[in-house]
Amino acid sequence: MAAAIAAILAVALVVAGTPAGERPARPEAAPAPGQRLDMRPVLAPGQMAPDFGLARLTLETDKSGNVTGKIATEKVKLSSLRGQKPVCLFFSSYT
Amino acid sequence: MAPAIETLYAAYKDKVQFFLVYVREAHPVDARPGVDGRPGNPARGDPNIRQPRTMDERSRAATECLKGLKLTLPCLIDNIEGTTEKAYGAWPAVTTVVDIDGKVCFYSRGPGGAKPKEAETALKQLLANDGKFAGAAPAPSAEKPSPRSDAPLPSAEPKAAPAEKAPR
Repeated sequence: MAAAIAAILAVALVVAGTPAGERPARPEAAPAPGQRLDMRPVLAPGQMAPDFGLARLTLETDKSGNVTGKIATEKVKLSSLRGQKPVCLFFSSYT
Repeated sequence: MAPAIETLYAAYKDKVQFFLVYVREAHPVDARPGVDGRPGNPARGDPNIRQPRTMDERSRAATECLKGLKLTLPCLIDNIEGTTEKAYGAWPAVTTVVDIDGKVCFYSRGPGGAKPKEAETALKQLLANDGKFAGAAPAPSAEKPSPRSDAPLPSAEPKAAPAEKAPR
């Protein structure tokens, strides 16, 4: 009887835990179904904006009108823009 | 979202440096559970975009993004590790206005979090103050953003800052 209860408990624990073979979600990843996305801000007004050096993408149109993207070798560094103009960043993806 | 940020860009591009920072896709058609958002469904009109795994793929996806949304503002591409995305908490979306000295003056996070109207208000305040952040506007709620627990505390600075010249 005790062994049967232990077996049931063990099965329940496995079911409640992460399904085998599934990687645990990274903190910045989307939530698993039923969980809420962490939307807490990581920056606040008055803080220094984290610096970055990122490649610029430009679109070029060839003679036949085809548009292709080209990545510039030179990177844009946020800190190198200081003293010039305010900067407005929109982080986004297509989807 | 897209037309609104493009309108803002057109109105202020002479006075403000704009960038679209292209980060990992929120709803690619090949979305992985627990990593990406729900998969996009091209049959319902979602863009048919797979999650880029290399910088080449990412630049192609960003090109599709600029073309598809008819965006002309300058575009930067985050690396595959998402270094900048993580530093800004920029997933799935974030808008940040930075003053002329590099300080954050406006930050908005969340799906549909581009908040172009609020960003414009922040830009107007900046431009009226020589591009410098003049302090946060009184917030409607007393709730403060919670700093990440892994963020270094200001007091944990290991090195002493170089001695500043005394103000005259």
